Amino acid sequence: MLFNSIEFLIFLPIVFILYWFVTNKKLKVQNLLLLVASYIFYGWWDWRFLSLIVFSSFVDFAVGIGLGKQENETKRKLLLLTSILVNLGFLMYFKYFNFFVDSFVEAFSFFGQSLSASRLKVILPVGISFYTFQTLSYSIDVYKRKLEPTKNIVAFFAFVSFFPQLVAGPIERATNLLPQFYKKRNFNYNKAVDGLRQILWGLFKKIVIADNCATVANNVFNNYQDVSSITLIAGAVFFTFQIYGDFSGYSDIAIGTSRLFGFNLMRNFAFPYFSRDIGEFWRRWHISLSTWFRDYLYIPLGGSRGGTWSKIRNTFIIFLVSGFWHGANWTFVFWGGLNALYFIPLLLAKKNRQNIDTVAKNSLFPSFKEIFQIFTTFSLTTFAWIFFRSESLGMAFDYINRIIVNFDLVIPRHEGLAAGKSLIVILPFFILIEWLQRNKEHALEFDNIQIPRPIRWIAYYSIVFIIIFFAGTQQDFIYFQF
Amino acid sequence: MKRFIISVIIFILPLVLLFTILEYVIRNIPNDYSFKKNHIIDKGNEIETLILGSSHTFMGVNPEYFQSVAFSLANTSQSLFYDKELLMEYNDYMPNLKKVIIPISYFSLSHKLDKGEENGRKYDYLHYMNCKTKILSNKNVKYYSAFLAKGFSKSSRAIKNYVFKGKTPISCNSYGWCTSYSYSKRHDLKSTALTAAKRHENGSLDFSENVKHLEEIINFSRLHNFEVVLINTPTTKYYYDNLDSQKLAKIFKTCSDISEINSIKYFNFSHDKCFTEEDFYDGDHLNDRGATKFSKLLNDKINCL
Repeated sequence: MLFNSIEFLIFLPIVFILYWFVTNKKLKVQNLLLLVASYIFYGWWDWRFLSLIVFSSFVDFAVGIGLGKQENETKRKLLLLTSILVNLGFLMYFKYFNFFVDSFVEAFSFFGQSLSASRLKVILPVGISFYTFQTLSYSIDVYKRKLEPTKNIVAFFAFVSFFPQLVAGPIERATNLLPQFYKKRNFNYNKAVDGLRQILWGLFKKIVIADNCATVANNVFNNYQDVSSITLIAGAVFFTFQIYGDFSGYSDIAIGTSRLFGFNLMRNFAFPYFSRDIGEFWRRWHISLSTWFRDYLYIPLGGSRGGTWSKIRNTFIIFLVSGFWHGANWTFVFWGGLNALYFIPLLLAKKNRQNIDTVAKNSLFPSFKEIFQIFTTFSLTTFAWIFFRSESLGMAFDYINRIIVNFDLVIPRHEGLAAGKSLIVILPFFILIEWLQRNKEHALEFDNIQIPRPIRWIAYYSIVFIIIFFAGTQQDFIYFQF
Repeated sequence: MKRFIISVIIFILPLVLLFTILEYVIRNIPNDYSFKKNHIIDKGNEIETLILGSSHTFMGVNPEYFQSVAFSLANTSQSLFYDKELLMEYNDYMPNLKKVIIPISYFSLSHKLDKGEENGRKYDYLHYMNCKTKILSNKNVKYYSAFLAKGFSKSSRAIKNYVFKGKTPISCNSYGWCTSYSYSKRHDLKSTALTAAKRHENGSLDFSENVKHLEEIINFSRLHNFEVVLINTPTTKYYYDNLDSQKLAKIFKTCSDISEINSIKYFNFSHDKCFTEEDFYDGDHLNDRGATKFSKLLNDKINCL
């Protein structure tokens, strides 16, 4: 089920009413409702893949129980290994098997050996990369004794499949989300209203920004051999906004929906395109994945504690794995590697944590230096997104080559760009709102006392009208494929 | 909780009202579907030649140049399934019908009804053209709402154009021929041909479903004493160069076989040398000049044999 669908518009109020009015007396029944609702939400796409979630949940639940009882370190390691093998095994089978087969065949053909290998005809289950990482975090934390293993099977299964964040995150930590299933949730008016605002802003980002930008970006990337260099740059910039609107929009809807049910999910995006360097960008972009890799990969590898080479190695590993997590294609690996290259000079100069605070925190406008920094970081990010969006490395290099070789300053003229006419007005409006609200958790976080209700409601209705009248052609969420 | 529910209801009520108004407006905006249905009901008894099919005939065959009274019931992306449904639905309104022209495009025989079919289009066939088969389930909320079926983007654009500019989405003239693909507005042939070829390829060589629809049309025509003419419309070489040649050969062979078995006329204009790049609007559609040329040629062909 998609967040931006009619089905969800009907599904959400039904679950909400059942949750707060019918099952609110008993926590177990309330959790059971969330579990059933989550399975319906996921099964709406393809019910057959529910078995994967159930199996994965069951394995990690059993591993958790085993880890709780077991004191022998070797056996504990074996239990953890079981969880890792099952979860990553699913991921490897469904997501990476064909990629490895193709890569081996290509590698052999490079050396003059022709191999014929059969590929699997499997569909990638939606959200598999997200929920496997979420359940893995549970097993690892229980193994590290950071978390008590749960005996509450309903709460655990509901934690793994919690519908707002099941298919595209934020990738929650068991330490944050699981305990929320143990406690009675009380309805909080302000929290629920704020949740609705965040959902509204998420829908705006997805339906207006991402879907409109997608039309333009798709037109340019699909016809990149026939358009001018300026159009190619415009295509890359539109994709930059598309992926942000798409993914952060989904996260906003997920976090907002969770708030309606009394849950707090971790923040996933913190206005990343206002970052002044790549280090800051990665602290603000897909925070749940970056911190997951930091905690479960970078730190166990030694983090930044070792010598220069070990820092460089660890940084490359984390970025390459992060790229590979996104998809079974060398374009994603290259994208990860490119970001590592951007990041390493900052790390070596010990300047990767120099921009911790929000940009221009106490003023309305950024300084010239900050404008330059933001522009540079945005340009580097946009350049990297070309690899992310391209179907192959060859296409990405060709795309960039055409920008450089055919560079001219003519007004972009391509039929595909016509679809983005409304974006000329909407994008600046969007950037302005995000800039003004950059100190907040999300762009529609208001202080109810400072801003009177009529003004707030005018703002909400305006956004609803913009969504209705400037909606782009409906596209799938990009991160569903990951 | 009470306060929250009341606030949400108060907030939503104007939106529900707005939605109801928008739904009413969009349902009442005349479009190609409602126009063609009304034309057939009003003037169907005059029609002697009926042109069916997708945009290739909607834009490429101008009934004005036919010797007999002709009308185009073709529409964008109209598959053989819809051709059959429409012919059976409106046959009674066309007592003088003698010929039905059916184009077989690259996608016609391998098309799958539910794959990539837009809900908005299904809604149009169901509600404006009275298509009998329930192509949209009545359990689907889009069955009941034009606004939802067509999507926010298309609906709001149509409403804006209708309410503020007085423009309807009708793109055809009184003969049912699409007038908006003029020579002056033509696109780059190479790039549009490549895009169209990619869009029209679904990787399937299974023609059984659509051959069945075609055979049903032929049997129906035999029963009601009118003649079926199969055609492949002209397209640019850029388009053909990007198609799967094996599939293309199978399409032409299937058409020949059906024509031979059922003794019906079949004309393949796909590689016709009469048509130059000047005749095309884009990679696979004729422009107004090309349509005039093609319509005259087609008229001569179907009448001289």
